[in-house]
Amino acid sequence: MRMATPTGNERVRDYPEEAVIRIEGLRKSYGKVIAVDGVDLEVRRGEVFGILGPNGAGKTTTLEMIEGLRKPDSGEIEVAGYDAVRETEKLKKIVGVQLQTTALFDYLSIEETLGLFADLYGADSSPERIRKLLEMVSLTEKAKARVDQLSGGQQQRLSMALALVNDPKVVFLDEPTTGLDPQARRNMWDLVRDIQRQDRTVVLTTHYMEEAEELCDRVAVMDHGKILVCDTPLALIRSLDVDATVLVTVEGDLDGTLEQLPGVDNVEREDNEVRLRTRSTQETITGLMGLAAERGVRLHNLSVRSANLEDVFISYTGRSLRE
Amino acid sequence: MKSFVSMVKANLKMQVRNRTALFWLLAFPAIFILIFGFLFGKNSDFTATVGVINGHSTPIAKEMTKAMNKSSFFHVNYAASKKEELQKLRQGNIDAVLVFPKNVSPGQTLQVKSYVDKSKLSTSQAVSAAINQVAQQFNQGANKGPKLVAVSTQSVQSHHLRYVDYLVPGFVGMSIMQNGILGLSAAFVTLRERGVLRRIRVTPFPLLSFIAARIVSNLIVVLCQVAILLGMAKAVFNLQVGGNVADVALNVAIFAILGALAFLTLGFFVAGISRKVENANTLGNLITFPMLFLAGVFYPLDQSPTWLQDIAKVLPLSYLADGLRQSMVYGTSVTHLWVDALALIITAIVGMFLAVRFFRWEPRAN
Ligand SMILES: Nc1ncnc2c1ncn2[C@@H]1O[C@H](COP(=O)(O)OP(=O)(O)OP(=O)(O)O)[C@@H](O)[C@H]1O
Ligand SMILES: [Mg+2]
Repeated sequence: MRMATPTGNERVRDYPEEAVIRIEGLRKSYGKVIAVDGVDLEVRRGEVFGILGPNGAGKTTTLEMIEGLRKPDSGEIEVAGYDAVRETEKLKKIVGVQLQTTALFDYLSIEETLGLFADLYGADSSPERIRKLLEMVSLTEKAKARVDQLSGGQQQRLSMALALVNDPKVVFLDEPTTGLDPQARRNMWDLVRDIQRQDRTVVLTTHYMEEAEELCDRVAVMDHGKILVCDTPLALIRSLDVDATVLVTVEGDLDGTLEQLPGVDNVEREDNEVRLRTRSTQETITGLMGLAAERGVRLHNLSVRSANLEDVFISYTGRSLRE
Repeated sequence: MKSFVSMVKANLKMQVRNRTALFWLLAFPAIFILIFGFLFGKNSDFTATVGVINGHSTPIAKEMTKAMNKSSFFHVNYAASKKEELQKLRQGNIDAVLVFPKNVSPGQTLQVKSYVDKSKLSTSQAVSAAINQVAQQFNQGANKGPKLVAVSTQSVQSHHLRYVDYLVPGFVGMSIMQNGILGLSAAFVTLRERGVLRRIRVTPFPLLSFIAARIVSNLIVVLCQVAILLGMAKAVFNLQVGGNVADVALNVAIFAILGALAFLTLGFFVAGISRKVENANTLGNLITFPMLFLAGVFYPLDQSPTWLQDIAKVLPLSYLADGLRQSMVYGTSVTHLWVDALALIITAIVGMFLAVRFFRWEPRAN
């Protein structure tokens, strides 16, 4: 899987905890809109780092400041030893970028586009190298197709290949799976894992909590320009008091009593559908069964969903990620 | 360097594959030239009005003015006052003044003075060339003896100036203008608003090189365009080539490049201040449309009111059209067309200043 080792890119794997990106006090406003409001982050070498947040959280602004595309109002950014504000030109050579919306040149074929960008980076643009990149993103059959003839998912994969064209140390992917169907999304996840296996650090943004959970080694939860919390998905979920959410359809009247069940923190209902957020699944379910038997109420479709990043987001913001 | 060449090549590929752009680049001007050429190619000749002083004074003068009058090119006005005629010339009412001596001793060469308005290069050179041609006919018979007639103006070989010869170079200039301003600005706004420029921006390829590559590829395209259009006009209408092909080609190429630079920089300026392609088109048309009619592309402005001629003097297209016409049809070299060249260079510098001042890489925030 490993690509030919490029010259000058020494790969240090002895210090897996070493920070590749260090951000301190990063701020950016557009007029009155504060897009990024004092972000501190550290991304470690070789990890897949996710920034999870709703629309307008400031993910793209943060990423593009790290890429050197936007100028921060204040704050320090260091990427692989380079100052991202003052040494942008050097930085560009060693990072790969997938922008949130990548339009490319019409009238050029896929392979011509890759070849052109390889040349713009001063990277290897030989046919073999281009073929390898195409193989990696499964676009080999489309090599001769024009960019505007690709499907949305294929265009995303092409822009992913473009992010790899210079054999970068750090790869930035801004919402790589937005707008893709579930199958295409899973393919994209595999691709990100492949990239990680080639000893690259990946920083991606997403508003899908499944994606952050499945794919990322560590996740920063972002909202209103601030990082709310940052850790591994598991640690984030464990840190919650919530154990799970119990979902059930109630045929009858249990109003007012559900809140009193042991372990229950929060009750949401929609017609007959009830959601119980609980600290203790076992106690809550036992209590629920007892209550139903006592009142002669029937329960349907009982299911338990273990806590996830959505709950983490709700517990920090009081809102759901999708709102 | 490799990246630059690669970018230029990619630009050329895109240009050639873009059917719409190709239509405006080649098909549209070609069709236009063919239509106008067939409509006006044969009959509608260009005529020059010449004021003649002492036209009846000597036999040779009589013969010569008669010959001129017979040619469909000249319209001869016999006049008495040299002063008045020169005044008319300055006002642009006539195209040349020919002064014959009052008398001439036998055996002596008839010294004829010809006055033309140098500021109107296209007519002045055609006229003096034609006058010389007429004079030449009188000298051919006398191999050994002294010359019968000597006309003291610069000699340019010229044939008959037809309307096609006048129109085609100007029209090519107009096409350079439209592709420079309208073509470039639309393409560039599209690249910017769709975010292609941002993608280039995160590569180490310098932005200035990106612009330069764009200009270089555009110049290559312009040279091909000019060669094809003029070649076609030569093949179909036997467009006049005023000298040896290599020299003419060089001078035409220089004007094509200067003109393209002048209008490309204006195109970048238009792109910079336009938010959408439609805005760029509107603004581009606003700039180019007046030039279509006021820059003497379709007809010489010599006969038009002076205020119109004054307007033409500030339109860059006048200079490009004139430069191309002079170098193509009369074989005038750039060194003699320095006014035209300078005007285009100044336009390019002003355009560059505006382009840099209003340049944007980012799509306009909504
Ligand atoms: N160029 C800009 N000009 C003005 N405001 C901007 C600009 N870019 C972003 N913003 C504002 O900054 C805030 C953060 O935007 P940003 O694009 O970083 O969010 P995001 O987390 O990437 O959102 P999404 O998930 O929708 O991509 C938003 O309120 C947005 O309106
Ligand atoms: Mg975004």
